[in-house]
Amino acid sequence: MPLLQATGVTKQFGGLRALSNVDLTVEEGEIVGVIGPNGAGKTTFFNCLTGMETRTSGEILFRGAPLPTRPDRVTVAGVARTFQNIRLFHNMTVLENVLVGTHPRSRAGVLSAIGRGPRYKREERKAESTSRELLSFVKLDGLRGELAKSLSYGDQRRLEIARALATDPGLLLLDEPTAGMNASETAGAIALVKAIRARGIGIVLIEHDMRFVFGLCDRVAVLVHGEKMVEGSPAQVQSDERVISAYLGRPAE
Amino acid sequence: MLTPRLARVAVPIIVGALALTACGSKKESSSGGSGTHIVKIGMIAPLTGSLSALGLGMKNSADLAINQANAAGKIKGWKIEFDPQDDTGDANTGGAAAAKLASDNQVAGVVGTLQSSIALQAAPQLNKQNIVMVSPANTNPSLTQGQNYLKTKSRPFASYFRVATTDLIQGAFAADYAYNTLHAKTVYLVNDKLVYGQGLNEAFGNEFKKKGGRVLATDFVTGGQKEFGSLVSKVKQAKPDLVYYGGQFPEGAPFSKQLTSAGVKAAFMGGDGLVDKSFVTTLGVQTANDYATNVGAAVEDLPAAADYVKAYKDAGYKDAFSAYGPNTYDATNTIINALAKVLPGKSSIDATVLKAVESAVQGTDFAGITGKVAFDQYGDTTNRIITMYKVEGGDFKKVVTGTFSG
Amino acid sequence: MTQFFQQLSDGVVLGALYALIALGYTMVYGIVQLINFAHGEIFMVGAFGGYTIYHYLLPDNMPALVALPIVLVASMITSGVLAAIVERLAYRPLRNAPRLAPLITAIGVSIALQEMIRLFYPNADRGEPFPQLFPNGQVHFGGVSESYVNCFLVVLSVVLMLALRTFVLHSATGRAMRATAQDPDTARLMGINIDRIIVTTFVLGGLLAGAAGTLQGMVASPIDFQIGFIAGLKAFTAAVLGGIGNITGAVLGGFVLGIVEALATQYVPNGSALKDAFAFVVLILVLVFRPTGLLGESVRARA
Ligand SMILES: Nc1ncnc2c1ncn2[C@@H]1O[C@H](COP(=O)(O)OP(=O)(O)OP(=O)(O)O)[C@@H](O)[C@H]1O
Ligand SMILES: [Mg+2]
Repeated sequence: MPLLQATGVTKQFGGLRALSNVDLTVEEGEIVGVIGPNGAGKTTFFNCLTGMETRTSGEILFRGAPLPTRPDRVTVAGVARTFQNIRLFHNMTVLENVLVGTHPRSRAGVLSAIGRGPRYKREERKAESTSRELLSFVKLDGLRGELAKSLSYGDQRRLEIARALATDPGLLLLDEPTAGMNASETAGAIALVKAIRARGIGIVLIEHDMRFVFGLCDRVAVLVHGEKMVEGSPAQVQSDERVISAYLGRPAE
Repeated sequence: MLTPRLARVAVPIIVGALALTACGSKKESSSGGSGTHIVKIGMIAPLTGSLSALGLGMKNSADLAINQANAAGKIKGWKIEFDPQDDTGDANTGGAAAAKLASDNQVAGVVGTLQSSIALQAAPQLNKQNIVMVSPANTNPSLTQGQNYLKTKSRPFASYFRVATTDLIQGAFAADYAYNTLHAKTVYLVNDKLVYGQGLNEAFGNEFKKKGGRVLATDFVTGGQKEFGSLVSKVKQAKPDLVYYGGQFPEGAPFSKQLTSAGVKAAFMGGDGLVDKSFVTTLGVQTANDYATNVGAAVEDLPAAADYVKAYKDAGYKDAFSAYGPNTYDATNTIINALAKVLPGKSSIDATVLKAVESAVQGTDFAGITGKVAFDQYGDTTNRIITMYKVEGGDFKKVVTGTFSG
Repeated sequence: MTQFFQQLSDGVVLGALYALIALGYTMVYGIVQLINFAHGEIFMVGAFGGYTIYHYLLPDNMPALVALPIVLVASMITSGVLAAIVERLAYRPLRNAPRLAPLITAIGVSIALQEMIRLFYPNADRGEPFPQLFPNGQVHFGGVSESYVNCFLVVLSVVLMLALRTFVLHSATGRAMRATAQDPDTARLMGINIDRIIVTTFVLGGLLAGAAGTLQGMVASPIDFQIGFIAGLKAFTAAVLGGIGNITGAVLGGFVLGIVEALATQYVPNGSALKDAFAFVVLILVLVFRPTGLLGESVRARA
């Protein structure tokens, strides 16, 4: 059973068809790249998966069951994401950001929080140790107490990943994880993505950095004008004539 | 169509609106039989809001007088309809109610208002149409004697009368009692910034100073205010013998209570605006030292009032007749008596008729349940009786009845 | 000088009451950018809830200090439950409507609640005397004195505020509330059910308003159906003064407002008549020179 199986995903914004009949399958532990020119519909595809936009039509199965359409339930089901333009909780500390991510996995309710009972304390301790572990996993352990907004760009991207991992996902959607990073940070990101996969988490990533995509992904899909033009191994995609003329051939922006 | 979503929004609004109308005034359906003409007596009083206990007692008492007059066929060829309007205790609302009554050509007289500040809005409008207004409760001197009543008296509204005496008398009577009987030498004045409260404070202060007492300060409360902590501290620091309050009970009661619980030993005194059961219940058991004057004699001292009290009870009104019930009954009968003189033989109410009603009211002279009802050249009652009450044993207990004669 | 401290202390009493109510305005605004103008009425109904329990359920001879916690909790629960109902029935259906719609609804809810109280309590017009659950007497600090009940008001308010602070800063639900306030869409992607968070916020504001209802009843009996209007207006002013949406700001705003009113009563000529005017002058000055309030953030960053 594939981890994710999206079929015929279509999104209409008024007169604009941002996605038309996109299919995508992700197997357990696989890294799938999604590339395409600006405005191709890549982010919209993530939005449709996570319930942030309601898709016009299409079916999405996660671990064989229909993926819920409400964002919070999508997360509970096991799909997490990061954003192209970073969306951290800026006025909370680094540790708190990750703790918020543990929310769906904590079973301490409001009442036990007011009563501060033993279960509440146990859940809080567990959430905190998970969060600390994730922060050292993304190499932010030194910055736990800083406000998220005071972090450097690259650190913010890593924090977003740690926060997404805190929700304990089976599938992680990364929207341009290296945008704005320098070369050494990008190298770090490659290692990080591999390490995430090593935890048994499937990954779909959107990227404009071709070296990053082709060096890392098991499979690559090319979106152009909301349609999936090609899908295949990095070698297949790189050599596809249509891709070269429609996309790769153009000078980089 | 009401979608479920819309319904959820609409329901609270509709419930609110229904509740509002349920509490609003009910109009008697007019049943003008052939041959009988209809004349209306209006009322402007607080039928809802914090002063409604007083207003409802007024409404019922007027209703009683009108029903009795109709049953007795007191005005030949005419039937009286009652048209009570709610001023909610607000001057603008009261002004609008007056405008409404003034534009109704069946209205030949209005009973009300409770508050002087609202009378200042209502009287000019009714006066313009020559509609008589008889108040059972207004006590501010300027309504009859003009803004400069302390220097030169001049009557502003020919159609305005009242069966309650003025605060010049009430305030002076209170000052006399405070100085001579309670032996208070210093007073702290507090009022609610409205016409009645300010006037009462002034009348008290002037007489108190004339007697040799000292006014330490004048301070203010705001309508709706319930917490008086810092004002209480200010009063406490001044250590007055007496706090004299010009205003109504909804603010006066918690103010007095908070003075007591802050350990202020001074006596607390006010005018007819305090005379309501809820003033006493608010004070609870801890009170010792609260006084209030009211216009007129105590009901138990009015032999003529016994029939009224019984008739009121028999009519089964839900609310007590409260502080102004007897006065309202007399005020309403003042208008009914004038109509009985003027209307028979007439077929409609025009300016000449209204003028005639006005002079009939001016010439009023009958034995009402509160005493003799007659008016001086300003429209003030010639009955200047004031009663001093003390709060005791969970009620107002009469201390002394009399008048002030300078 | 003693009198200055006396007024300062009276201002703190008044301010504590304002602050308790202001917290409800500010928390709700922080989460849903809605000014819940029915909050004053939620406070008022809470006071009547405590009153009702005392009069109709508790035995007459129950000692006041045993009845006090029961009445207090009854007020808090009444307001908390009512706040949840109002959110569910009146505001949630309008979550995505233009801003004006929930505002007008709030006014409708206020009227409905006032009229409901008038229907059920015939004396609510002139005021129901609130039970006196605290012994009479004063505490003296130097020359300053406050009644026991005023001291209790301040102590309880501060305890509740600290409890709220702990809850918001150090509990999972509190964290989720802060996350939702900063970015509701992202919060949902953290698996947070923001509908539940919003209701929780209304309930928390209601609990505090209910406590304020009992406190107001105890220091300023009687209670009537209109007490929510003035208290709500003052608390709203306090919330805006402190920077609406900011919890610490609401507390600060409440105390500043209370103290300004107390000092104006004492020291400004005609101050007792003008104290409300002063409160609003302070509000206007703050808004002119610091439009976001004392502690508000400059502009909310919202994607
Ligand atoms: N909420 C929206 N309403 C209307 N149009 C939208 C909306 N979101 C996206 N679009 C449009 O849909 C198209 C696809 O946008 P999308 O953000 O998915 O592109 P993208 O492939 O992620 O591009 P980029 O590489 O620049 O991030 C664009 O034309 C965009 O303008
Ligand atoms: Mg994009």
